[in-house]
Amino acid sequence: VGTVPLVMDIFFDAFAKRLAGLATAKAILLFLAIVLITGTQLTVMKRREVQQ
Amino acid sequence: MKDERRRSPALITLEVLMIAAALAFIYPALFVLNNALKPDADITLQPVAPPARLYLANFVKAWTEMRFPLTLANTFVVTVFGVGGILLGSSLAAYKLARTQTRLSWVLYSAFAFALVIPFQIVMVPIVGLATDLHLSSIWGIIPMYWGLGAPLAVFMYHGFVKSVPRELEEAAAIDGAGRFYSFFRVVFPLLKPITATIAILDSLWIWNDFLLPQVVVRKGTLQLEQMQFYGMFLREYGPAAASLILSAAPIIVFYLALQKYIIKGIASGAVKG
Repeated sequence: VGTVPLVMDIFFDAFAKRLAGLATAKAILLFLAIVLITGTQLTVMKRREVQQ
Repeated sequence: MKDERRRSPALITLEVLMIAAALAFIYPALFVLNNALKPDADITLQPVAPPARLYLANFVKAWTEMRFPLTLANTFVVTVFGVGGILLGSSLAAYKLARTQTRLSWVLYSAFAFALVIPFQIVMVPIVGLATDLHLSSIWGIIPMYWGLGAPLAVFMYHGFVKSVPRELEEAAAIDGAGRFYSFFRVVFPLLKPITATIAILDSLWIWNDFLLPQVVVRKGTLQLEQMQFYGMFLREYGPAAASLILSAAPIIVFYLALQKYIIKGIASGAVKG
């Protein structure tokens, strides 16, 4: 279990263990992580664009 | 190789590296093809050796156990109607969004662009629940799901391309008495052909090869799902499994090769503009 990616973990929770609530909660966390990373990336890229 | 171009050492090194990379990528496919033509015992003992004689029982077994004609028809129907719906809906939506300069159109377009970063696994559980409630847990039911899942990328790509279509063409059509839909389908849509081809190919490959959505919604019936039966908990039928891989991949590979020139052209001209 130590090397399972997050998306596979969500899949196993939802469809093998039948824990839809836990799976969707993990999905929300994954979503927040993606928004955070994408947001940071976009801000940094835009700032760099202005400087040039 | 008729024109004698100068071949610098750097270019030759690069070519050798590229050929090595190409071989590394093609090797797994050739490995599968090789083993599809051997009995299971030979695969376990000598997986790399070429087949001793022509052995087609794997293909017969894969064909019958996958119920190949029916499964192929299912996958074909899902791919054709899925891609068709994405192209029709997304081109209309992107056209209207690109031509309308209001706050709402900007918000809607941003919503599509934002949806690009949401992976399927995040919406997977709610989709299964919705599918049950709406009685969409069938081969036909997953087609509208692909329309929605494919829309963000298609709208995003069409939106960038519509901007390059001159407005004057539509104005000319309007003066000649063409309605909105007539002018879209007869004037604008033909001009969107390069990007339409790109989206059609990308989405065909995606839907044909998609495993997770059919797996969580219908569980059996498409090519990618029927391959699973050869990998049991205690039994691995490598020969039929390899044959089933070849059978499922062949149609989409032929399709891809036939349209290859559009792929490169379309991606180069369309996607970069975004």
